[in-house]
Amino acid sequence: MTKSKVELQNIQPYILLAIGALFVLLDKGGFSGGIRSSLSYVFEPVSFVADDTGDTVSEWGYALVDASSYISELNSLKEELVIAKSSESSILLLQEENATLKEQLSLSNREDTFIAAKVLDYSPEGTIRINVGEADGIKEGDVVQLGKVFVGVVEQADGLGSLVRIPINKSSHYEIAILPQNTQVDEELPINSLVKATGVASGSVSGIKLENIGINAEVSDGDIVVLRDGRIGGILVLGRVVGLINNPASTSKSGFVSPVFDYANLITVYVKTN
Amino acid sequence: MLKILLLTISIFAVVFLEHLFLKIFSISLFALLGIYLWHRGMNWTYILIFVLLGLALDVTMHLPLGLHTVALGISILFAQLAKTVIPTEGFVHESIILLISTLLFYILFLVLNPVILDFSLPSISLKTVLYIVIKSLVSVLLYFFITLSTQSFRSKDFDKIRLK
Repeated sequence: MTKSKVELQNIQPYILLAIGALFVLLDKGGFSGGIRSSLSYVFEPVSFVADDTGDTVSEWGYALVDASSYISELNSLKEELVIAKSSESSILLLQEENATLKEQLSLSNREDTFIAAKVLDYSPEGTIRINVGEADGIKEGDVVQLGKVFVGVVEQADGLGSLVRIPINKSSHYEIAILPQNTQVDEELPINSLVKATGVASGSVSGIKLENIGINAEVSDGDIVVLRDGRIGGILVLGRVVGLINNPASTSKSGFVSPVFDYANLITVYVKTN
Repeated sequence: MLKILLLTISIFAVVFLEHLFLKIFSISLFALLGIYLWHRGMNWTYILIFVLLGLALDVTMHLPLGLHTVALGISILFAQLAKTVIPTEGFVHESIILLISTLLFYILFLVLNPVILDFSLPSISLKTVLYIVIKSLVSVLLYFFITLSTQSFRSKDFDKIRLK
């Protein structure tokens, strides 16, 4: 290798670091919109195809590993099909229950605009990737929910996709209110008269922590935790209180929130854009 | 002209393969390729291509701009510092430097994202560290498999054209 090539090889890492740091500062300062949108326009279609292909290959890999469980599942499904076909009356009851659940889960506030999104990826660090972005009207800070349940907040929106921060993320901190166990949560709820306690919900490695609950508050496991944060708007359910710690020596109570559903199993979510 | 066309196609191919490899094996081809090509001694084109690749991957993965570039820069800087201490002529020495460079890249990737976004450090468990070590080992194996394949592919032709 010639002397000039060796010198170039020696300064390349410093140049990469300097250029990388410059782009980090540009991004933090909010001057990267043009760069992100143009790169997103060119490269996101390629990345979506690659992610789809990778998912398909991974699924085939899991299928090969779990082949025996799929065979037993197929046999049990065959039995279930026979039972279902032979009892039509139970199917009619299930249809009616399905319609009732859909009505209960429907959003009561018709003025809000929602965009349906598919969840592409889940990270244990507390983020999910969805398949809608700036092209669909999504922007940073938009709330993501499923029915009346809070899913997260859009952290980064690009052309065709976005990154959502979910409550188990270490950087998630929300003001919450705790309601009695059997409360029916909707927009007309007179929340102020029902609140048992207020506090803060923070994401952590061990789950969603509840902190700063009044020491005299009559909170118990199973109580409903709802978000009452100005950044979110509206009343959204986070989960239920579990693992409440009543330490007489402490000035406040703490505990954890058991989410309504497992964020890793989400398939479809809705982003509120108005 | 042909070189520019090939470079353009290569950039798209690397973006595609990076997403594919991350989905299937959780291995970063960007890190492997970056360290390998730096080690081979590339010119200014290397910097331009890897900055562009880094930015493209940052956008497609919805990460802060510059993250991939900074992580690669620090990993290569470490490899350069290590080369002054550990001689790289031997197979074992080269593999140690490569292993630690890729390990550093994966750790930086995990740490830099929350630091840049929220100025907070992530929680790194023993399971995460073990996972990163395994990914680095697989990356090094892949690197040597490719290197040995290209070397054995070339050696047959060189024997034929040697002048006596």
